[in-house]
Amino acid sequence: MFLYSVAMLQDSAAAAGTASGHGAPQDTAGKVAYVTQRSGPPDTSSYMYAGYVVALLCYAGYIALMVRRIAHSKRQLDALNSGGGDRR
Amino acid sequence: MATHPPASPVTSAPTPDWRSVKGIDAFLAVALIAVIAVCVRAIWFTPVDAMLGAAQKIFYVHVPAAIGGLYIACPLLAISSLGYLWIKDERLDRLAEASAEVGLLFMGLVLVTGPIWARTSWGTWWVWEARITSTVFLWLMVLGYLVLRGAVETPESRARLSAVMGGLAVLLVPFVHLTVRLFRGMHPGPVVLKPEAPSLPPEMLTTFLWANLAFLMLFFALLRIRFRWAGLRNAVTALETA
Repeated sequence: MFLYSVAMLQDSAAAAGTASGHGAPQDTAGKVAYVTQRSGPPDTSSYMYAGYVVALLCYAGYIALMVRRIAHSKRQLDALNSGGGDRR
Repeated sequence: MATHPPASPVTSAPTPDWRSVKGIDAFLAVALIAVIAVCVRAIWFTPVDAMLGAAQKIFYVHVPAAIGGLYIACPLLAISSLGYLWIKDERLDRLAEASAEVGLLFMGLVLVTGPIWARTSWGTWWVWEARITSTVFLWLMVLGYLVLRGAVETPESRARLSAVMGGLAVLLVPFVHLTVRLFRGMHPGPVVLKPEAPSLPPEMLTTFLWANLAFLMLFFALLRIRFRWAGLRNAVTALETA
């Protein structure tokens, strides 16, 4: 999570100062602790793409179905007009 | 789809050239280009919502599909059904059938894209709340309408019974519309068509309006093709039964 207390900051600052060999721990007394928080909206772009892909696939599928239906009916019409009989 | 003989028309109409019916015509091509352009604009050239992230952009597909499916296809189904009962014109029966099928597609998309969006904004795929549940009922009733059409053999009976069912099914649409006001649910209310100003920033509103226009064009292009195919199919069936 991104919530820290001032005490935690002081401890971590002291630990960081010591570990990095920069000498004395930082004096944070009387200062406002500032913690960089993750900002901006959540990353939900995969859901967005999923929604658009599903929508476009549904429309494309329906158009393909209509193309197939019309082609089938035209073949039947041709067969009937030519006196044959695709009577499925 | 069943290939029953058509209902015998009372009013005579000039016989169209059924050979000219195409699966993809110019109107559909323009509509498809418009839809793709709107999708590109929505995905890459429209700001991201600060709270919901990119998933909010499903809005530009979800709402136009709802407008086409609920507010255009269903009233068209009712009007053409009642019109058929009144003047017994076979074209009205075909229009009702086409409206139901294209409306079923659009409403189905509403029911598919809604949960994808809900997963990110509500944390769950599905909630049995009033707006969503009543939309499912409406979708099932329109599906029942199409199943009924395929089940009745006699053309006149099929057209008459399905017209009655089509007229009745649409009575659910005002209820679906009012659910966000009548019940406390999770589905948001209107953001554009409301007494106050739209609660969308101008960039989002522009994309939304273009999306509505593009998807309405697609709706009418599909409706036109479906209507003309029904005529072609009926012509084939009439020749077969002659």
